Amino acid sequence: MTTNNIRHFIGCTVLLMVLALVLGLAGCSKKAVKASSPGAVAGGSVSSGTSEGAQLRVGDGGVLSEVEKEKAGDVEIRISRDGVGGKVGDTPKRMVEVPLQDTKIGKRGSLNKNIKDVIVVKPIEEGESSALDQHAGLAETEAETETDAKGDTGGHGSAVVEAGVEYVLGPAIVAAVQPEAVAAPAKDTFFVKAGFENIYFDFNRWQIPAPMVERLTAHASWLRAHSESKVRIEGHCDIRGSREYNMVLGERRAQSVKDFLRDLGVNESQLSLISYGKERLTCFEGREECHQGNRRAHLILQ
Amino acid sequence: MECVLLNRVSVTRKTQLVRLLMGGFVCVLAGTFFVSDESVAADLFIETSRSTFDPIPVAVFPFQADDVLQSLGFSAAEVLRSDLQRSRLFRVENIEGVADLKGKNPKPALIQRVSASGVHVSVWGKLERRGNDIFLDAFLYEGEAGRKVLRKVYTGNETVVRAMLHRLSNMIIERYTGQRGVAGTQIAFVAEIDNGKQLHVMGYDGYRPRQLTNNRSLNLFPQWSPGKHFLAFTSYIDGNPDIHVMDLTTGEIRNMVAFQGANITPAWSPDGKQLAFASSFDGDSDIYTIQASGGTKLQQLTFSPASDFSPTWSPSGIEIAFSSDRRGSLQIYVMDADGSNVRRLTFEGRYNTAPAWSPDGRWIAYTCRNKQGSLKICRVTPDGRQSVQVTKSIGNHESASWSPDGQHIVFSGASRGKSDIYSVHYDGSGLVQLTSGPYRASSPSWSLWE
Repeated sequence: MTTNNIRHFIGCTVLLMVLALVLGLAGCSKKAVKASSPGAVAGGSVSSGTSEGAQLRVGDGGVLSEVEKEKAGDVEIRISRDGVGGKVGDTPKRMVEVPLQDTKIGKRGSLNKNIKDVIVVKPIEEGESSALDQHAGLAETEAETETDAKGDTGGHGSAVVEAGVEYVLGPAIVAAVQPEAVAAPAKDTFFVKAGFENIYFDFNRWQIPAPMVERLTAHASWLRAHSESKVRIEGHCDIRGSREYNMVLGERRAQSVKDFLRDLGVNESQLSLISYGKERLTCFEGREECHQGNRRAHLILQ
Repeated sequence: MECVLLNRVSVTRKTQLVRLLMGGFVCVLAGTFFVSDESVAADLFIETSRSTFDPIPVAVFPFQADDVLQSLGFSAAEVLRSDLQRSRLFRVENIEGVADLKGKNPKPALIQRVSASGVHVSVWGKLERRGNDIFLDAFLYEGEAGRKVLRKVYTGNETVVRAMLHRLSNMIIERYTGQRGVAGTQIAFVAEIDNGKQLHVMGYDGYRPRQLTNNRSLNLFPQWSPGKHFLAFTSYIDGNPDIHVMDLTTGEIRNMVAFQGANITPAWSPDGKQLAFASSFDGDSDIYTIQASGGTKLQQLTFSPASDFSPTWSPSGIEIAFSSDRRGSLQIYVMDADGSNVRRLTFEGRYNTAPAWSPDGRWIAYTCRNKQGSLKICRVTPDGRQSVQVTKSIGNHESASWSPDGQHIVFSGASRGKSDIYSVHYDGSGLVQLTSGPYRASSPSWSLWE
């Protein structure tokens, strides 16, 4: 299982941002900078008077802390990572999206499990150089490629990071990638998602609900594009049904997801499933949000 | 048949006569309904459950135990009192002034005084340590005169002292009621521990739960084998829900059914030779049987495209009841043990599942759902004619399992995020909580006779 090198995801982003920062500082307007955001810091000042102490510290076993950003905006960063035991320069094996939106982090549980190797960096002060600089060249190259390949859809970039090195996503860096024209209201949280979003079901049902179709379609696209990858589909239920019938229901839900993916062209051999009934509840309370959160199919990259 | 045999207790003539008549009347009345052809049974159905039975007053004098039981942490008299009370056939009466006895042999005068007050059965015993063995010397007193009528001696080492006391209780129960006692039987269950679910076992009264598996995985649906040597269960230790069997004498665990898909709800045949279970390896859940000794012989019993699961054998081994949603709602069905002759058993409500056939064949307990949507324990006669809701307290109740004498049902009750094992008389009375640990306990299975 290769779910553990999230450090590489964040690290790539951060590295990229640092790079952008550094390059911005240098007053260069390379394509690399553009890669990190549309119409990005073309020679703009880096120091932005952002709130201090806003650090995204993730996955070192601690709780994700909230990040205060004054000018977050909607910048999409795609991070790639190399596989377990990979080294700098290896081909990224998995992509993770890090949308900077207004979703809340700071929750324990599955979020932490997936990103436990994410790394933390201290913010780069203006003029300061860091150990990250040594990666600059590499990142630049990657970023350029990325930009060329993808075009400008909101700012993409990727970089390969070194395992064990800490990177922090700090406000100074974030500010660096803000398009100057945008004066979006401050959104003060990050959402870090590693892996596939859950598919949620209606009570006692195993058909894919309409609101989940788009999400599952996206999963299918990814799986088709990475046909060597394998995913295990877990089926889960809420606490209210009988233990035995919930094993059956959980399996039906996993099967629904599998059928859907297969119908969209994902290879059968990429998909396996398992039911957990109500044996792996994430919440034990009597509220509907709790029940809905439990009625899920969870996809895990193998 | 709840014919209570009271004729061994020597009481006053008048009381004796009255009791004889009462007993006879009950026998005749109940007998009428059991002798007649059930297919023309009337609407009226007389319940001779233990709640309608007049419990026998009994007194248990403090035992003389010196220091024998200090380390064991329980009092002999308390174990006895608890066993007799739990049977619902006896009412344990307090005796005044016995504390002064300090466990010594009660004098005849005291026994007579107790008897004269209406408590015609009393018990006293002493425990002695002789070498490595413990001797339990028990005395039974009867009648208004408080005559000593029985002496029983049990020996064993320290670890079986409690079992000896249970045997004594069972002997008393059987002597006065003809019913075999279930004191000393065991209940297996699942407890959620450290992100996994592990099998545990405890006494029928909740005594000393101890952990059986320790594999950091999910272990579910335990079922005692008839000989009490094995537990069948579903475990994820091999990465998939597979049927395993644990040998309780060696601790060895064997993977018996590892089909792709969910292999769940194992059930032993009454002769212990077969294991029925549900598996979804061919796309939908169906019921199969294999030889309990292993081997490749696999027999498929259900063939519907719906989900069939949760098999339970009749005590004769001739029939199997199970859950199925083949008609759109979740209901209990019965079939012959070869899969033929399927008939539907439950018709009320849309959610009836997890059947458990009582060892005396009289009832099938199951999980039903009430109008408010919460799960309760219900029971139905094997012909489907009479169904009754057993539990009424708050919470979601499921996973019913019968005591070997068919009198009590053990089940798991969940509310507000916590889950524990409870025991209840089959008529719904006498609810008692058996587990109180920090973990969530579920899926109880009551062993057969001690």
